[in-house]
Amino acid sequence: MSTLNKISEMLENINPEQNLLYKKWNIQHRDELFTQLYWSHHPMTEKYYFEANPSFYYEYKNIFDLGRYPIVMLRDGFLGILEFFLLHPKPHKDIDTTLLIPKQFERLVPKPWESQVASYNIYQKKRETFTKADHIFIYATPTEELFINRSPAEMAKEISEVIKSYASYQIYFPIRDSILSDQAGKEKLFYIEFVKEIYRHVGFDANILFHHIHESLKFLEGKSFDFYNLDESKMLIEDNYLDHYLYSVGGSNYIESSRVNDGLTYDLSKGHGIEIQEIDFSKNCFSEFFLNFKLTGQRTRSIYEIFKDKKIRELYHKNFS
Amino acid sequence: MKVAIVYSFKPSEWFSCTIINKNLRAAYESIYDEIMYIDYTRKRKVEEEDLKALADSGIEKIIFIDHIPTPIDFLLKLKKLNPKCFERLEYTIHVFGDFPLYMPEWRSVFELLEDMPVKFIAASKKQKLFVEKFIPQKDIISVSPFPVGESDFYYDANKREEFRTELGLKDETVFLYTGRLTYQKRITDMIEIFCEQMIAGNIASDSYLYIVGGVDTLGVPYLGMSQLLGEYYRQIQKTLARYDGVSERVILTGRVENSELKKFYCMADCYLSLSTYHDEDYGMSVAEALCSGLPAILTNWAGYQSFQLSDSPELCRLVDTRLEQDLPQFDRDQAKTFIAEFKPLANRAEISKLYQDNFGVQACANKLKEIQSSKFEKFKGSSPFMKRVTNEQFLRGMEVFKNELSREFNDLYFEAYDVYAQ
Repeated sequence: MSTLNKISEMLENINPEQNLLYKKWNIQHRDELFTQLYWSHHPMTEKYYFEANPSFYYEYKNIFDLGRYPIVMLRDGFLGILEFFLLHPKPHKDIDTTLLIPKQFERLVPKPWESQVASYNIYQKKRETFTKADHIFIYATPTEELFINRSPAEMAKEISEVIKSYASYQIYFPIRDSILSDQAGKEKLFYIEFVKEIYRHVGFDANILFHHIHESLKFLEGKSFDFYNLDESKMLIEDNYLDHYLYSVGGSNYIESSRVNDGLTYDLSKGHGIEIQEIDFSKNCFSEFFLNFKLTGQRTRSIYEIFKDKKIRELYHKNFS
Repeated sequence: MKVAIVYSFKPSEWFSCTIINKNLRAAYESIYDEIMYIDYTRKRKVEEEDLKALADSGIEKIIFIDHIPTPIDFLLKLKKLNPKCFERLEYTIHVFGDFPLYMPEWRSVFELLEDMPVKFIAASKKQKLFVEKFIPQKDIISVSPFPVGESDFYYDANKREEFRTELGLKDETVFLYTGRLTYQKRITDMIEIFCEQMIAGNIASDSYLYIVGGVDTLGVPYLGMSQLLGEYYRQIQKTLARYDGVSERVILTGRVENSELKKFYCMADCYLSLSTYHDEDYGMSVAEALCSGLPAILTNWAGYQSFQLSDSPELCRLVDTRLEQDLPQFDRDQAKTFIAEFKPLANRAEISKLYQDNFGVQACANKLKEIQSSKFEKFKGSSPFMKRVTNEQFLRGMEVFKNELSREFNDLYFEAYDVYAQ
């Protein structure tokens, strides 16, 4: 049976109460630091529903906890996906779990995992009628990992350009600590720098929301609007709750997010769906990262250490920027 | 005569409540020459200047027309700052479907208003029966439906033709549901019944079921069962997948602007809702549909019952309901029969007029005028049942009606909600 057939059958027969982490009440994060990270990126990390069991790697206590689930769709970005495969370069003999990993990071999948891994891609469905939105909702958590590819100034300049073609806009930047940063970065320096740049490029009357996001989101329901998730590097989070929410209340993604190829497809809302595909190993780069890991002589690696590793950052830019 | 009307100037998160609020104001404006509007915010704030103006105005009647917050903070502040004014006023409180969710607060409101002249207004007869469990004085609880704007919802034959052409429809029978797509509204059951009747050949094979609205995550709060974003949408998709071949006759439009709804009501032939939602004290979407001349098939649940007019019950057929341990149930066979027997009606304009005469702003204004002109009795406080529910809610929050062992409804639930299923 092909991986996709197996996945299709699993999703058809899933028992939500038993097979989905987010339907359980006693989720235990792997460590306290991740709990801080989870809340520093909330509501982006908020739970949502899909039969493939979307969840973050650190929401499982350990690999055996994860192994209790027939399928796990990892919502992690680069850091979580890389950590998982560095520590588990081949499937554990006691773990039958099938993993879905983001299409963007399929090149990190080691070949021995081929029969147990597929990729996923969230896409925007074609609209029956198209009307140009006059409102845009722009959002991100301005912590260090957001600025891996672009500086705060570059991003702020882009925002000032984007909003010109809309009658109204909202920018949502929750004020949060950079948990992954060193001491200097932790003290909201990236946040302050970014907001300064926004004021410089957009103006001091920039419509920035810092909190009460719930009310602002309610206002968007049923309206015609675009949304723009500024996090393109997907360091920490690939699968963002706000993307799902905004699609499901009628928003259109400012970034092109159409279907990539044939595979399994499932509707997630009126506005978006998910496609699941076999892994393409033709441009695999896992060995570069694995070699670097082995050369360190370490046996474990956490997302915090990976984030700070200069060599890994270099390899990330080479392969994913 | 001058009255004061209290509500939050900021719209409610529940769109139907915002509309109700607007239409209630319109109804009262046709009764009273002068109305002092007071902003009692969602964050429970009222300006001291507003209370002073109320005290200085000589106004003797005050009417609360919003669903949240409860009047408690307003009344406490008024009593503290302007006790004479507090003693002078006659109080009218419109009761909404979320009434049982805030029992401890209502209990405090009731204590504060004891021995004061008070009237409560329920939106339907069954809601009145429900509220009577908490307020023993039946005479101080009246019924007046939430009004529908006559100029907003009426039958327009041209609009029907235009929209049908736009949708590529000719003479097909269209069943329509509008409102939130949520677990207790029984959308998946509705799809199942429609598709099963299509497959059985009991309804014309070219019929459609249009479902207009956005999906929410409410679940069953009383049982501690909440849903995740996308969960109910996936359940709907899985239900549709079971009816390959007919599921394309079910159209999910997603959310539409309120101003677009009238097109759907005119275009469709029958409004269909099998909801057993616990806060269904009334049903604003149903009222708007009927005022647009759209006959309906509904569950005989809570406020829906009020939409069946004694002179013409055929325009709104009610499916029997009963309370069950896990969720209220409706008679599926009866629902199937009603759907199979439905024939589109030609006298849409007459139906529209009939329902506007009962549920329009003017009809409701007449009813409210009658209520306001009758004598205000002194309020004697809450019932022993309310004290029990309040104490349970203090301890168990929203899960007040949940059996802790079986995770199903408890006896208190059956005691409270039996009137909704009668």
